[in-house]
Amino acid sequence: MVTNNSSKSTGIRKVLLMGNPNVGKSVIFSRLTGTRVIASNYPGTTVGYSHGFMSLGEDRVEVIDVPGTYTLEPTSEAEEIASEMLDTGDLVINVVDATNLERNLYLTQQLLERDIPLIVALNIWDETEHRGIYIDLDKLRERLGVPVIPTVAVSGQGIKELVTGIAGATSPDTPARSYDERWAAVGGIISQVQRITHRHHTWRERLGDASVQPLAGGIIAVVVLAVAFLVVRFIGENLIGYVLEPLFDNLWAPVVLRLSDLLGGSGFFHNILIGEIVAGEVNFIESFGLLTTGLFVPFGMVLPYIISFYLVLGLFEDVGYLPRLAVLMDTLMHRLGLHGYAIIPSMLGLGCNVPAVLATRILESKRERFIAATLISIAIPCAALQAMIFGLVGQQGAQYVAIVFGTLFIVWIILGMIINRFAQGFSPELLIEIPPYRMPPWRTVLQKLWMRVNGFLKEAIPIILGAVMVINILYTLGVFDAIADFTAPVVTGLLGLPKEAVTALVIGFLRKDVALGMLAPLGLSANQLVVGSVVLAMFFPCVATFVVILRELGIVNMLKSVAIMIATALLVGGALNLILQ
Amino acid sequence: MFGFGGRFRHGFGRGEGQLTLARMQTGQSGIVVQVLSGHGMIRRLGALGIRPGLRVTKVNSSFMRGPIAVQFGSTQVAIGFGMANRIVVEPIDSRSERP
Repeated sequence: MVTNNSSKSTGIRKVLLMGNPNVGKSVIFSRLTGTRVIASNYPGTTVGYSHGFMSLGEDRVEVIDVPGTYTLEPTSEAEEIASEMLDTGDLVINVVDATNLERNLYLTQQLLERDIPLIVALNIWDETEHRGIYIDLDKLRERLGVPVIPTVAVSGQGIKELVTGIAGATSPDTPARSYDERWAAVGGIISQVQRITHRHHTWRERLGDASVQPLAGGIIAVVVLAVAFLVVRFIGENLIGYVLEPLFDNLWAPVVLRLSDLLGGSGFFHNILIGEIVAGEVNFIESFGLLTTGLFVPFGMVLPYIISFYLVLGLFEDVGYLPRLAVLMDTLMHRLGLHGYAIIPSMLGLGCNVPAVLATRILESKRERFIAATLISIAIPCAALQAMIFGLVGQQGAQYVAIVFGTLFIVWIILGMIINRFAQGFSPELLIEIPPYRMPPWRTVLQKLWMRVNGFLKEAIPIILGAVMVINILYTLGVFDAIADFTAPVVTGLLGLPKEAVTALVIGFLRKDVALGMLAPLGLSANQLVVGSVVLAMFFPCVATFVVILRELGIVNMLKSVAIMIATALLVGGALNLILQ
Repeated sequence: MFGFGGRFRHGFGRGEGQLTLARMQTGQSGIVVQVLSGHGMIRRLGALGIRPGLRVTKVNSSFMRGPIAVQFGSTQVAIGFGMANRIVVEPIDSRSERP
């Protein structure tokens, strides 16, 4: 939290942080408000808006991190939101990328035309020098007529000056102009304040250029993704094998056994808390008590993969690789009715489908968002479900894990092509800025990792424990047996699973990781596990994803999306059952 | 660009020697002359700074109608193939901006 020493009231209630995408608004927001938000090195990380508070004199002032926009003429949803928000604020901090001054100043010109005090934060200031960019700050201030403060948000440099400078923010009298007149004004300013000297390209830029070439970039992508996968597996497996399993087996199991004795070894409470103890041993996967499976699934099986996945994803985001992957994937994604940038929500989906569906907002049309959200919730298993697939299906052999992921991948492509054929509307073309590669600041990578892990702990664990509780109660009441008998024709006849497997599909609505765990005690064959995992992944979104899809797509499209999910799951599950038998 | 013959050189009222961004060679630079498209796309491109008079250098080669990456100043932008094919540029003789 940065505080301003002057103590008079400024009358400012709401400060808007505005600027082009990927100029560091969110990092400045964190610096000003002390609120942690996710920031990455690609345009469109902030799809909603975050708000926090900062102290200005004796006032507590609301600060809003407005999604990045290139212009106030709304050409996309983010820009519409930004334009509307502008009317609600008392002051704008225009965050400008100093290494991209010319393009950034177009929005600044539009902001100057509005009747709202403005101050410019000239961010990424530290990179100008080695890029051979020289900016005459005094002249820029003079030409714009508003305060200009150089900042380096990632290190905090200039933030104090920015806060102090707010008092000097002004709204120079600027008439409304046309598009061409604004660019002419920008051109005039640039010719006076900026000088760019020639310099040699750095290895980072060469690597950046290489990674959007079809051939070299393709090879880089395959290598990078393979290494990422291996690193995620390596960290996840070792955390489980050397840290969490020993903790559970050596420290927690004796406690559970002791408690089991105290509870008399059986009965309702014993079942809910501990589940079944077989031959004096705790089976953390199959016993299904709150203190056994209820803790082992989130901490012993899922958490390690959440940590390893989000560490690697965070590095990808902060280095700036994802937009390049979007360029390489564009041709394929067009077949699915999407453009390359849809790869970003899809990658986020490998962590959790909830932020992934939210991130579909970076796509321009409703049609694309419908396709992307539907494909994500059908064919992209979240990290929690993947961890369980690795843990349970992996015991049967790596080839079975490969069949599960291979099937989901093929479904992703074929279903995308089918929806693309039938969905109405059109899909616009890719048009994105490719950020330079940046060395990820470790502090922010770890901070982001912590936010996401913390989010998982806070949001997932209550639901996991709740799900285990519900499972026990429904078992005791005999509800599952009734459902199992009712759905037996589909589950057994079509999918080739024991009729009790339906309980997993029902619980899948709460948490898919717990649901997959429910297949463990059924003694399924490897092939049945494969069918079960695939159907569970595709059948229906978990409740959290369901709510976001409903909110983002609206009820009609959500129903369409769910119909597609159920139909696909049954079709693919049935086919897989026939093929594997 | 020779492979495409006169069809792409003379279509759409393009001047002699002009070609679209999609047809430029990798590493080649050119000045944007016009965007042969509707108002909306002109604005979308303009918002990113791509407008007549801008000097751009093509960064990648396109494969199977993949996007075209161009560099101008310190900005790099990827443009879908169809859109890039409607951006007319006047190539600059020195084939590459880079030494």
